[in-house]
Amino acid sequence: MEEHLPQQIKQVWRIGAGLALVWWLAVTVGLLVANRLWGWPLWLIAISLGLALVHPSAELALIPYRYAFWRFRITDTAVYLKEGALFQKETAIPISRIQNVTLSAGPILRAHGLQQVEIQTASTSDSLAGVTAEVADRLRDRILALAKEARDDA
Amino acid sequence: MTPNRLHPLALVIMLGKGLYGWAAIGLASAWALLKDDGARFWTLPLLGALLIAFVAIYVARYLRFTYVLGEDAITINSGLFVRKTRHIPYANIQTLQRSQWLILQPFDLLSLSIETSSHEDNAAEATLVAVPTAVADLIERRRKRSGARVAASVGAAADPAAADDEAAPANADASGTSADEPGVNAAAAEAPTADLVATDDAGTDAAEADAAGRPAGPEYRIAARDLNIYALTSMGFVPVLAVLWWLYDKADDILPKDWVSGAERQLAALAVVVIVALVIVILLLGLAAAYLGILQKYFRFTLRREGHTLTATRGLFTRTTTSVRLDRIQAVRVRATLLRQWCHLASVQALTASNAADEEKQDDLMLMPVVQAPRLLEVMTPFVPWLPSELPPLAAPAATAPFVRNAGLGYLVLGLAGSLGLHFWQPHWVLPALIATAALVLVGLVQGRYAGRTQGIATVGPLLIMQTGSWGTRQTDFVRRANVQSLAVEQPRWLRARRRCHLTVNLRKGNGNEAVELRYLDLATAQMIQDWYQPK
Repeated sequence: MEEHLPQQIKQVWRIGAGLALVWWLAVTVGLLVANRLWGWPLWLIAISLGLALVHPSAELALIPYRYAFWRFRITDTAVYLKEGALFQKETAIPISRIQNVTLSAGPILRAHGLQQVEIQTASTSDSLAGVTAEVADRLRDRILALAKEARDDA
Repeated sequence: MTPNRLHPLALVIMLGKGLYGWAAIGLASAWALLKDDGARFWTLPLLGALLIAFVAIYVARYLRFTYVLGEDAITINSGLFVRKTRHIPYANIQTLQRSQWLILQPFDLLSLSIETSSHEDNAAEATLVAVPTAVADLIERRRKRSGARVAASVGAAADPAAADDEAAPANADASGTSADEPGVNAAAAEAPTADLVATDDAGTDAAEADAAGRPAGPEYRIAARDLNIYALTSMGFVPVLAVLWWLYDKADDILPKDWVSGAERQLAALAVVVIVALVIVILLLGLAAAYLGILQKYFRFTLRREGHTLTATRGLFTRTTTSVRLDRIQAVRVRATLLRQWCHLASVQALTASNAADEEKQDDLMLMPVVQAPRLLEVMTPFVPWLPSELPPLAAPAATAPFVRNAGLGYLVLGLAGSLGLHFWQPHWVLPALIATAALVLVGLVQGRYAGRTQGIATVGPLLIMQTGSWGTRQTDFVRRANVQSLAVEQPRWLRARRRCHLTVNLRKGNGNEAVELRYLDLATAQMIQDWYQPK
């Protein structure tokens, strides 16, 4: 039973692309001011304008791709993550290896009722871009339950 | 369970730390702003507002920081803008560090730093800045209780009742199993360096071994002949040459100019043959220095096993002793450079985990500098019992051609790019560069073929054996399933038709990740490894 990321994450990503646009426009304005005040070259402005067009639109275009190809599955013993279409990568993390689970949410994620889950083992760190509170709780309970029991057999 | 806030003094400490951190910049900018008398009417209120904002942020952070001591885990909520919830199961806590600031002492408070074995650069997982001592004791008790449960089920023959909360290595019973499993407890109660323990711990194990009436474990002492061969086959003269070159460079600055130019003129006047002879002499000197260096470093290398601890002692001028507990070994790595492969030799290291604080310590413990390759497992098994008695047949990659192609292409692209660059800079060098590229591509083809034919993977019970060959060095890793942190199978789209994929096995090495990558495996082989790792 593989799960997709929640639908709301697409909206979050769109807002992220919007923020990137705002950021690049701010940079452009800053460069314009610098050009007026200190005579900075015009091609810098051209570059930042170009990036302001390319970066957010690339992010927006990739959103359906990212959503479609990101899957995860939480069983009793492991967390499975599957991502990518061009390079499909499937990662298996047994719950008994998970040391910490960190849930974090900035204002945008919080507004959509989502949380970013970061799963840390002794040496790696994987993250789920956004999950609902219910899934986050389910993951936390499984980890706590298994952390009590024996670690994996030798 | 209602969340607890930190003691109000925590705010004082956090604010103090924040001010200290920003003091330099803050004072400098304050001075710069206040210098201008005329603008004081707006700079002063601005600084005041900034100061108030600064304090307000810390107050908000303090108010937002709450912790809950659940039955199985600590839950910490923090964060102002980005809200973070951290769940740390008691069983995962490796180290609890207590420190008491001066102002906390009269109130019986302390700062608690909680570390798990998770990878976090130079920072503990969670720090409770000011909590009552009772809280720290409660966490410690719960950790020991859960650790004891873990130890009881992990220990081979231990029964659950035997794992005592206060189990210290000295009080362990003679069977030795329960003494070593609470590495979580005992080691954590000592310094954070839980893996590379000081020799007194090894001494305790030795005493325990003697008390049990067991002989003090197998011992290996390197033979002079083996050390000689190891030193001879180390190709470490390149750094020595680099040092000699640096010296020559410095001599250029130190010695008087006409002295140096006089010497250079003399050198130029000599025949080419003599110059070549000089170069050879310098090379030999470099080799000799490297040889003597290694002889000195591994002089009288001894590997000893006492109970569950391996101790390695070496050195002539400084006698170094490193110990590692068997259950802390993440993987056993057997390496053989090209030269050593021709001489049928190999060296054995152990990969261990360490905290950020131990960066100076050797992450890779050398278990055996040189050993005859055919006899390797026979020699090593008394020291590391979970190694197999012989190497099983390893599953090869689906094809060698992709390795050859990738290596050749890589060098080709590099060489062509270099030639293109040279074309603009030094055009008469382009032809030699192209010839060098062709030679490099040939070398690359051979390297690729070697890599493709050396790679292999197999499982023996709970043990995973991976072999890779890169740059002519063969590396074989023996890993227990419990030490594999995660497994990833990657399949680029163009490999789907041929049912091939890449496999990445993540191990803990030092304070970071070691990703062992096996490429162009059959999908069936990869799925077999996945099933071995996580049976469906």
